[in-house]
Formats: sequence, structure tokens, C-alpha cells
Amino acid sequence: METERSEASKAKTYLFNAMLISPSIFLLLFGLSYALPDMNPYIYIPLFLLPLIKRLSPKLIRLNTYRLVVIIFLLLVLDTIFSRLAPNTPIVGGIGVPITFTTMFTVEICLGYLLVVESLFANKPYHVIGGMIASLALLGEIYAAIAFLNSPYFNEFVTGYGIVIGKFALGSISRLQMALIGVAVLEFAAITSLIFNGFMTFMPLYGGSPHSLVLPYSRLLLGLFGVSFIGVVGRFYVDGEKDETFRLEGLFYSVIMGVVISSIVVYFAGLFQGLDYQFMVISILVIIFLIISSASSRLTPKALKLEE
Amino acid sequence: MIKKSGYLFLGIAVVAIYEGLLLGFTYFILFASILFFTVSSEIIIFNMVTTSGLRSLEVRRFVDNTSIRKGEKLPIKLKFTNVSGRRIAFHYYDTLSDVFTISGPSEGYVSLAPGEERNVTYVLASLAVGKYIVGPVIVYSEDPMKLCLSMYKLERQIEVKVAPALTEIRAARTELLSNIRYSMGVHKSRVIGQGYNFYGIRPYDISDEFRYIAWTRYGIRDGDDLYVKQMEEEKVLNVYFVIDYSISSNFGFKGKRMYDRMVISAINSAYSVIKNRDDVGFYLLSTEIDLFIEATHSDASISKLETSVSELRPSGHFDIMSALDRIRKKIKRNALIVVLSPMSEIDDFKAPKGSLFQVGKKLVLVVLSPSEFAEKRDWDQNYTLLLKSALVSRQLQIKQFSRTMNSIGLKTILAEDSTLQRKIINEYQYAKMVN
Repeated sequence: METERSEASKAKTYLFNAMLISPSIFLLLFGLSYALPDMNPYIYIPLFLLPLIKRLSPKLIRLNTYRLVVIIFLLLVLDTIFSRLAPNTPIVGGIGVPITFTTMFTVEICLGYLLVVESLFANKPYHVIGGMIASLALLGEIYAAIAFLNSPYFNEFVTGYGIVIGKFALGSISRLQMALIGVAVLEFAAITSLIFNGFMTFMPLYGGSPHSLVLPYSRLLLGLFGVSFIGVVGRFYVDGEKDETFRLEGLFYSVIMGVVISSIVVYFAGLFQGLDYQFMVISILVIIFLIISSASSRLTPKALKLEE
Repeated sequence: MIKKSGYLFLGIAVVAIYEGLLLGFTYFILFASILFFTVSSEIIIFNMVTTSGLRSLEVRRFVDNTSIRKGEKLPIKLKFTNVSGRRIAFHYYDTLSDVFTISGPSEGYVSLAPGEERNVTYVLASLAVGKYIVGPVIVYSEDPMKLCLSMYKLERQIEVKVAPALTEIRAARTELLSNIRYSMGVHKSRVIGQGYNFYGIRPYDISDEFRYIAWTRYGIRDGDDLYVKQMEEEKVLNVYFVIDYSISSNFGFKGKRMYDRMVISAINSAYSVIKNRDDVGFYLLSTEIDLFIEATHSDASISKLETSVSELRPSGHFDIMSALDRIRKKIKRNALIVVLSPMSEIDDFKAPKGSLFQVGKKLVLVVLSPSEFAEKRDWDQNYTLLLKSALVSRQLQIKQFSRTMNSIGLKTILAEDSTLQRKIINEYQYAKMVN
């Protein structure tokens, strides 16, 4: 009976995990549908199988799988560098990782994949949320690259890239990889603009910018973020104790407050109106809330002195 | 108070917002903003509203008796009263030592409406003698996301004094058993003198008192020969039990701790000693404890020990040389001194030179082996191997120590928990024989 209950609870946990990381799952599948032909199969096949290998391995290896993979990968990179420097040395034996943009591109998508899979089976809520945010950072760039690839400005960028750095830097790369470089350039431009102007203008996915993009499946993504938020609340509900319905009332009020405040913030930040000071407005509000949260924390010391 | 996970969560939400801003991903920014403001609102609401309710909680503990015997059940009643104007929900637990076995809700979850009272009763029983603290009652509450914690200590602690269990010392107190032991030959002192027990007869001497003449033997050899009765003289042997009450004697788990077993064995042996009309005293020793109980002919010293150990917990260290020095100063009478110790602090022990180890009395050092006090975990292979290795090494160390002590004339014997009392009685019997 106890086992059945824990199995049911586990199933619920995984369901809410899946809901929570649904935007990442979608971006991963969408990204892979474009990127798979441009990826190195010798890298992505073992990395894609890694979660399965990890779960089938003995405990000692299971706990250190990712550390081992990082060490092996770095050793292979070192071996490659070494073999280039001293081609006749017998130790290297021709094993290595090609140091190319394709490799980096493959590793980026594989990292996103690993974060999604590990988040799906994570036990702690903040591991799932942390994994989702990290995977969104990687997969969001691929999504932006796909959007940029389909934009009318991409051809201009290809021409410019060919003239300026294409001949020297990264060897032959695919169009999607070139679009990813374009996204990186835009991000760099956005940060530069933030530093020198105090606002950002060249965000890769910002619909209001001069190179306005058509974001594929944007409505679906909006829905998935909604599902993800329900997943966050549901995940905590599953994690909490069932007899504490009273406490869940508090969560309800928090969600209402969170939605209302963020709507006001987003409205005043002018995201939908195309103003450029959203970074500053959001930053100020975030800092205010962090200060209030921290101050309220001081009101509740961990333990009071003994009462007489 | 925001927990680490709370700060982590807030950090993740902030990173998500800026990640969305950097990409210009509007929906992601919206999602991350809702996440951040929901979490921060939750933290603020919990810290400013929920926690204030906990401050209005009253907790009282009711205990009928704070002096109990080992194994005796002690009911403890907790009364929670919500004096605030809103509902309070919280977890609670009473802080208890691991020597207690607990039945009933010493911890749990309570939700109280305004003005509501809730009584909770649980029962504890101690597995070892000593003085133990019960409490304080800890009351805590977490927010639904478990990112914040509010914890209060809400009731003063009480001291529970635990004396040895009657069930453990009853065997030695029972008349029948102690009489069997008595008649089995503990009483070995056979010195001729004044006493009640008949020893034998010898021919009359002019210096003998007339009243000792054995008239029933008059003239049995040549018609007018006289004999006198010889009586066995009762020689009282003072026995002192010196117990190592240092922190190292607190070794063991749950119901089996070295100091507890040493005290119980000493008490049981002491009853045998008293039944044999000898005096018994005790000395609890460590660098922090120096409790000397003078030997008495009655069980007064045992009662005093029972009271004393119920108010003490092992503490400090035990050094055999300083212990011998203190024994030398405290015990002036001729006595058998039985030192009970696990001798855990003998890593750098070196045989003393000169007469430092001599106390001028019959002294036996009984070293208690830790092997029966280590917790067995058959399911944990690594632990079992480590334990086995540690115990073998310890056993070798004790044997080496024992050889050293015996070589310098200080009688040292090794004992397991199961053989401790028997070995003490053996030493006592031997001392009676040579007394």
C-alpha cells in the first residue's frame, strides 16, 4: 500500500516536472528538428545516451557520471591539441575531438538536452526550475538562431560575416550555425548598448527591434510558459504535506500577488510598447522586492530565546 | 527566515528575468517575472503574516514526576493554546535525548483555530541512568514552497533524573538468590578469633578463658583432658567500586551504554558484598567528576549511588595514574578496590616508573571491552567491516595495556558486558579468601 502510494506520488512528481520544463522540451525538439543534420553524431549519440548509461551504471559511477564525462571530454580536447602540436607522438593515437564550431554547437545542444532530461527526473523543485532556466538559456539561443535564420536580415549578415571573419575563424559552418553566431553578435551588441547607453536595443528575440523577427510557434510557447507556471505550483503542492491545506491558501494569495505585480511591472516596463528602459525598471523593482524579502526575513529569527 | 533554497530560488528567478531580457524573449520575461514576484510575495507574506501568528502561541508542558527509574514510563503532556485572532498551523517537536524511547506524539503537526487548545500526551522511558534534559519544545512553520522557515523555542526545559531500574538490580536484592550466593562460598574468611561460626577444637591451655571450654569433649581421650572451642572470626572487607565516569564511558547505543552497565554491575555486586556483611563504597571519577561515597555496612551507600548517578552524566576524561593518585588520597582504610573502566584513553600510555601505580591496597582494574557496545548493522557491509577492524585494533590495544599493567603489579582483567559482574564477584571471592 505504502509502495503504491509512493509510486503514485513519484508519477505525479514526474508529471509536474514535465509540465514545469515543457517550454524547454518544446524548444529542444524544435531546435533538434533544425539542428540535427548540423551536429556531430560522434558527440551527440554518446551524450544523448548518457542519462540512460548513468541510470544503468553501478552507484559509484552513477554519482560521478558527469564529472567523468567532463574529464574525458577535456582529455580528448587536450589530446587533439597535443596531436596537432606533435603529430608523430605515439601516445595520442589519433583519438580526439575536432576543435570546430560544429563541436561547440553540438555540445551546446547536448547540454540543453542533458539539463532537460535531468530536470525531468529531479527530486527537488528548485533543481527542476534551475535546470529549466539553464536549459532555456542554451535552447533559447538555438530558438533565436532559427528565428534569425528565417528573417530577411540573415542574408545580409551572411555577406558581412563572409567579408569580415568567415575566411579566418571557424572553417566551414552551416547556415544555422552562422545564425547562432549572429545571435551571439546581437547579444553582444545588446550588452554593449546597455553599458554605453543604459538600455538594450539589439535583443535577438525582441519583436520591436529594427530587425523584427517572426517568432515561430510563439503562441504555443506562451501557452507552455503558462503550463510551466502551473507545474511550479503543482510541484510544490506534490512536495508539501497533504494535511496542510490551510498553508496552501498562502500559496494561492502569493500566486495572485505575483501575477498582479508582474503584470503591472511588465506594463510599466513598457515591454509591449517598445520602450528601451525595461531593464532599468525591472531591475529597480526586482531589487526593491529582494530588499523587502530580506528585511522580512530578519523579522523571523531562526530561534528565539527561551521564554520564562 | 529565508532558507538557502529560498535564496537559491530567488536567484534562479532573477537570472531567468535577465536571461529573458538579454534574449528579448517577451514571454520568457513575463514567465520569469511572475515566478520571481510570486516567490518573493510568498516569502514576504509568510514572514510578515504567518510567522506573527506563531508568536501568539502558548505552549505548556506538564510532568507529574521528574525522578524516575530506568525503563519506567513517564507521561508528558503538552498543551498548545492559540491566543491570536487567526488560525495557526505549525509543526512541533520536543527535544529529547536518544536514551529515551518514546511512544506517542512527541512531534507532529497541529492546526489551531483562534482561541483553540490542543493537548498532546506522549510517554517516554529512559534506557540509561543519568540526568537528562527534556525540551525545549520547538515549534516551526514552513511556507508552502518550503523556502522559508520560522522556528521558536516555546517551553522551558526540565531535567529528568533516571535511577537504575529495579528490574536490573532486583536479582541481587532478592533474598533467595543472595543467600544462595552467600552459601555457595563467597564467605571464605577463615581466621580464628571471636565469632559465631564454629571452627574446631584444640587442647586447653592455661591461658584460655574458662568459658570457651568445650565440655562436650571433656575426657574423650584419657578421661580428664580439656578442650577449648575455636571460633571463626568475621573479618570485614571494605570494597570500593571506582567507576570511570568520563565521556568515553558514554560509548554505546540506545539502551546499552558503558557507564550504565558499569553502574548496574557495581550495584549488583555491591548487594552481594553487603549480604556477605562487608562494607561497600563507591567512587565516580573523571577530570570533571569526583564523587566519593564512603563505604557503609548497610545499603545506604548503594542508595546514595543510585541518587547520585540519576543526577550525573559522564563528562571529562579519565587518566589511570591520576585516578590512582586520587584513590590513594581518598581511601585510607584497607580495602579491595575494583576500578571499572573502558580505558579508552590509553593511546599514549606508558608504564609508569617507581611506585606511582601503587596504592597500598588490593586493587583490580577491570577493563570493559567495547565489542558488545558497538551498534551492529548487518545490512551495511562497509560499516560492519570498519567496525570489525576497529574492534580488533582496540582489543589488541587493551590486551597490550593489560599486559603492561600486570607486569608492573597492577592486576588488570578484561571483561565483556556479559561477563563483567561475574568477574567482579570472582575478584571479590578471591580477596575474601586472602583477606
